[in-house]
Amino acid sequence: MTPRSRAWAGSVLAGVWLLGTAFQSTSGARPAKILFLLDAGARMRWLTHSYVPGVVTSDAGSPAEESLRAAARVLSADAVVRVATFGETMKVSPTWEHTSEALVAAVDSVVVEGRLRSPIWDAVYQGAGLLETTADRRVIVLISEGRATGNVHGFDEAVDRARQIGVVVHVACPAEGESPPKTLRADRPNDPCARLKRLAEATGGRYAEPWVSRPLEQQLEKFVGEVVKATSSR
Amino acid sequence: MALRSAWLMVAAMLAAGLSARQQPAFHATTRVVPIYATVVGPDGHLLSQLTRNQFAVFDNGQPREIVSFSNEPIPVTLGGMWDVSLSMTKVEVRERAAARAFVDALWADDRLRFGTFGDIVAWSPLLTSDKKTLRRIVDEEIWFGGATPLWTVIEEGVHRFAGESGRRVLVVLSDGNSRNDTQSKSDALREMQRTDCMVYAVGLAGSGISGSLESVAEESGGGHVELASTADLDREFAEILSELHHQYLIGFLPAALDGESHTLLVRTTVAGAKVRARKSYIAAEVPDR
Repeated sequence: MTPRSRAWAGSVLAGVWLLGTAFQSTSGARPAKILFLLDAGARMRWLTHSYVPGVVTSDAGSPAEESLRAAARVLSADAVVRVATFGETMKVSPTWEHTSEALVAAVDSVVVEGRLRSPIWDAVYQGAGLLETTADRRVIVLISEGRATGNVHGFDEAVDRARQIGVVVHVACPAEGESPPKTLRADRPNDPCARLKRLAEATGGRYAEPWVSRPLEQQLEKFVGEVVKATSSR
Repeated sequence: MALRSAWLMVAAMLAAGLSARQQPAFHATTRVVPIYATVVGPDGHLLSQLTRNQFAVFDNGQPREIVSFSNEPIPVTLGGMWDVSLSMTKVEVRERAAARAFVDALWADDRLRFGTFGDIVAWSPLLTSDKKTLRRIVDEEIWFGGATPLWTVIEEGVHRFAGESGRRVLVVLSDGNSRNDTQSKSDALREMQRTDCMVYAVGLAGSGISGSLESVAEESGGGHVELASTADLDREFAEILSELHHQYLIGFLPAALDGESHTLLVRTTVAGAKVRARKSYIAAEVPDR
C-alpha cells in the first residue's frame, strides 16, 4: 500500500471502528442486522481494491476488507452483517455473517470493476428494503464520498424510505484536503458530503468524516473516544 | 414495384396524420431516407411554414425526388450531456442554471435522459418526460471534476439512443476540448452517421466552444450556439427546443442501396435562407439501428 492509500484505509477503518463500537455498545437490546453499503463508483475504487505502487489489484487487504475485519472484532454476539457495493448495479453478499473471515469473503464477493457511476440514493433505498422484513434492529453503514449519480430514486425518497422502515443509517464520508478541515466538509454549501450528513441525521445515525491524511492511530483514538463518551451517556 | 410500394407506405404514413406518437416508419423494409432539416431566414429567424416544393434534395450530388414531407411539430427524444470536467468549473453556476433551463424548456411529450461527463460518464437510467424528476436529477447529480471524454460521450450517446424511434437529438453542453478520450472524433462521426442521431452543441461564454465540436454538430444537421454571459437561459433554451420541434421531415428514395456513405445536400428555394441538415448517410437496405 502507498502511504496515501494506507491513510485512506486507515480513515475508513477508523470510521467503521467507530460505528462498529456503537453497535457493540448498544447490544443488550434487540439483535442487529447491519448492511454495509460500499460506494463502488469511479472515485471510490480505492475502497474495495488493494494498492501497490503503480498497480491496483482486488487481492486481499483492501480498505473495505480491513474495515470489515475491524467491524467483526467489535460486533456484539447477536449482530450479523451483509456487504453490498453499488455502481452500475447493486451487488449484495448472499448471507448474513458474523466472523471476520466470512465478512472478508463477503467483500470479495461484491467487488466490481470499471469506472462506475454512484447511485447512492438507490443503494440506500434498496438497502432499506433488504432490511424491511427483519424484526431485528435495522442498520446501514454507508461509506461514500457523496457524489451521487445515476439514481432512479432521489435523496428525499431514500431518506423517507429509510425512516419509514426504521433503518438507522450511519455514514462515513472520507474527506481530502491539504490540511485538516476546521469545519466539516458536510457543513459547506454544495459539498458532496452535505447530503450524507443530512441522511445520517434524519435517520438517527452517526456521521463521520475521516480526513485521509491524518495518522490512523489518532483517528482511532478520537473516534472510539467519541463513541464511548456518547454511549456511556445513554 | 419497389417505388410503388414505397409510395404506398409513405401515403399510408401521411394519412395516419403523423401525430405526436405516430412516428414515421422510415426504417421499414423499403428504405425511405429521412432527413430532419432546419431552415433559417436571412434575418436569422426560423422558417417553419415552407412547403415540399420549396426544397430540393441531392444524394451524392444527384437530385432526388422528395417522397414524404412534414412540418408538423413532433416530440423529441433527447439526451442531455453536460460537461463537468475541470475546465468547466469556471462556469459552474451558469452550467447548473443551464441544466434547469433546459429541463424547463422541454415540451410536454418530449423525453430526456440527462447525464454528465468528467471523471466518469454518468447517464441517468431514466428517460422521462417528468420534469419534477428531471429537476431532481439536475439538482442532485451534477458534480465537477476530471477530464473531458467528449468523443466517447457522443459516440456512446448516439448509440444509446439508436433504439429510440422518431427524432433523436443529443444536446451536448461543453467547451469541446477533448481530454482523456478513448474514442476519436471520427469514431463519434461514424456512429452518428450510422444511427442518424443529431447532435446539438451548446457552449457558455467564459469557457467557449471548440470548432471541432461545432463541426460535429453541423455534420449531424444539428446546430450550435455559444450563450453569452448575460443571455436569458430560459429564453435561449426555449428557442433551442422550438428549433428542434420545428424541423422539416423530408424523405427520399435513394437511387442505390450500395452500403456506402453518401453525401447529402438539402437546399431551399427561399432566397437567402440557410438549411441545416445532416450531410451524409449510409445507403443500406435497412439502417443498422
